[in-house]
Amino acid sequence: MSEIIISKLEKVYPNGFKAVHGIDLKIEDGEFMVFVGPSGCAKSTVLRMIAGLEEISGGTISIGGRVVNDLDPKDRKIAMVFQNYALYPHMTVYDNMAFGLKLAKVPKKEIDQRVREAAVKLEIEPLLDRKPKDMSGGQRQRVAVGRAIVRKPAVFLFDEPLSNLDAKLRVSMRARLVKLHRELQKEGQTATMVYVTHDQVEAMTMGDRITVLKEGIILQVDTPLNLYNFPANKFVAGFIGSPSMNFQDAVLEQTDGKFSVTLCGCKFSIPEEKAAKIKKNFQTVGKETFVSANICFGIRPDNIEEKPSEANKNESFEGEITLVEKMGNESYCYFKVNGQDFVSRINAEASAHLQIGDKQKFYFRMDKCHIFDAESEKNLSL
Amino acid sequence: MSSKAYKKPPFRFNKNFAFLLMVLPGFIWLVLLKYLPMCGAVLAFKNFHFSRGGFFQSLWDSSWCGFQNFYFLFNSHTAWVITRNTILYNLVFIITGTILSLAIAVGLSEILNKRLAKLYQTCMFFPYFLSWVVVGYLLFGFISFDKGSINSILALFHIPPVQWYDDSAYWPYILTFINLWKNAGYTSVIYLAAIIGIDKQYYEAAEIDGASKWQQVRFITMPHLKGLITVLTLLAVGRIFAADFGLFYQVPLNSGALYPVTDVIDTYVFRGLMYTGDIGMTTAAGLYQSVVGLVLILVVNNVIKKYDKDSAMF
Repeated sequence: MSEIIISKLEKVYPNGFKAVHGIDLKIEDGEFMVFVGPSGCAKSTVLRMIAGLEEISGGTISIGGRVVNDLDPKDRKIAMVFQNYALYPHMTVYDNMAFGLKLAKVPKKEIDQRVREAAVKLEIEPLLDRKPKDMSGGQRQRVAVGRAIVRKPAVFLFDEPLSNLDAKLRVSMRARLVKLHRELQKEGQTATMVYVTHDQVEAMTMGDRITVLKEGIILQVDTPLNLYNFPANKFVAGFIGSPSMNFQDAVLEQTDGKFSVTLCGCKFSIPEEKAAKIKKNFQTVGKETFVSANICFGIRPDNIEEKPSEANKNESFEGEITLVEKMGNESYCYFKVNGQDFVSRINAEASAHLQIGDKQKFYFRMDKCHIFDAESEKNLSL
Repeated sequence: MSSKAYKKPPFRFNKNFAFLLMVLPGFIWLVLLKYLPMCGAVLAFKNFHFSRGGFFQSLWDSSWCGFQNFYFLFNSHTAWVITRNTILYNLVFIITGTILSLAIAVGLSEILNKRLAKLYQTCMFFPYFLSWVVVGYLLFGFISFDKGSINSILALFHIPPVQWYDDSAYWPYILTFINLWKNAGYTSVIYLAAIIGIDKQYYEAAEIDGASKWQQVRFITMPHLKGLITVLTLLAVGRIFAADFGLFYQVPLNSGALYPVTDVIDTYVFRGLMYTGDIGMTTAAGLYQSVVGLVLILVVNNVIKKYDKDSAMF
């Protein structure tokens, strides 16, 4: 059993700065949980508190049913992969991987077996006699992962392990880590993984669930798709997804029982189902009426289309193209409407003719839009 | 496609003026105090005597005597004693000094309260700035026969007082202790600076691997310091034939009874110059120290290169 339960966790530094504000979280046994957030959101601090490298100021952390607040890192059955690999420079790859086992007085034969098995799994067997300085970044990272695997821990902790790698290597290592997680699970080895990253692409592609943090507070915990489609607030909506969600200040209106949002001087109808949710959620933010309410309108670039369809129901406005970024199979089209900036993601073929300065109609999928309360930034359309 | 051979751009004085100006004081010091005096090495091969016309005229007028000054140095019955004392003391100082400096540096790096650590560091560094004359008399305050505090304490326990300045048995330990007390703090700062530069993540990784504090020192700190220890030890070995004059002359207060254990090449040469005025012999002793030191550095560096190329100085 290697579930992690974090209860009212707090971290206060000696200068009085509160980095973590009483967070609660449950990470299931064998789950791949990703902590994501901007710099300074305390994701690494929480990870290090799980590892035992930071003192806990308040609350508890339990691993496998055992409260580990007062346990040394070596007694918590965890293994950690660091951002800078932290491979011992004077030791060979073999010795790096065997070091923890030697300290634990594991028999030599077993050490050798575990090290070689992990080396084969990570394709680093030819590197066992090399020292870290004679290897590339990707190889070092695999050795760091190998060092964690051989310990057969209850929990793997990753602190931005791919951030020092180039983009291409990052993609391949990402896939390798996910594959490793599956393989360990198949072998029956506990594979609860907690992965910290500031890269939302890594978060979306790797995690079973993602915890979005901001300034020491958990904003939302959910599966990648749910975070993408149903962000709980404006921050999560803007953080997850690339390009980022379009946000514009707008006003909610009601005419003849139908709800609409006025945006950049244009009126867009809100589907009834969504309107009902908004109406219900408005009461939770302490507002009596949502008519003529100032809100923040959000819509993802992929929900802004370049031609009318059944889905977008012809809800459109005309914009002036300010930039077209051609990505190969798709393009990011930046445009202005009455001085307000938007970005849409459209098919490469459809954007082939677009030039800067062109006038183009863009259609909104209002069934996919998000309405955020202007003050609390809570998503009212869920 | 042919490639042109790289042509080094001409040196531009104007462009490099600021850098040359920065280098100038050190360069002048090096030339005046280290390179120019090398010419004086000829004194070792001359039967130097003063004549009218000043030092350089005297040098010119003095006759060559080959290796006679060296024979005189090595044929004197104290040659063995001073050489033994010089080498053995320096060996002990190198070993004990390195161990103690490392221990102090590691200890200071582990102190969580940084203000306390600074206080301890200052206290340990302080003796380095004391002159040997002051140290000599500080020690005198402890081990003076009639007024010293140690003999006073011994008297309280009805133990007979010790003639410290007449009994040579204690002095190898006293000199070693005094040398450590004065210099270990200084050397520890160098090691401490290196320890502070070690990435903390190594220690965290070791902590997660289950290493105790001592194991972290053994497997992380020491290997990182290996290069620095090698360089400092190599430099110390290069000076193994040169003793700290102040320590061996001022601290024993030049007591004749202690010469068998406190006389080293430097004090012997000094006394030789003071009492006999034989510049040629004293220069021979100095040249002998320098040449042997150079040979030792070269030999030790080559030995180190064979086992660990990265740790060698050159």
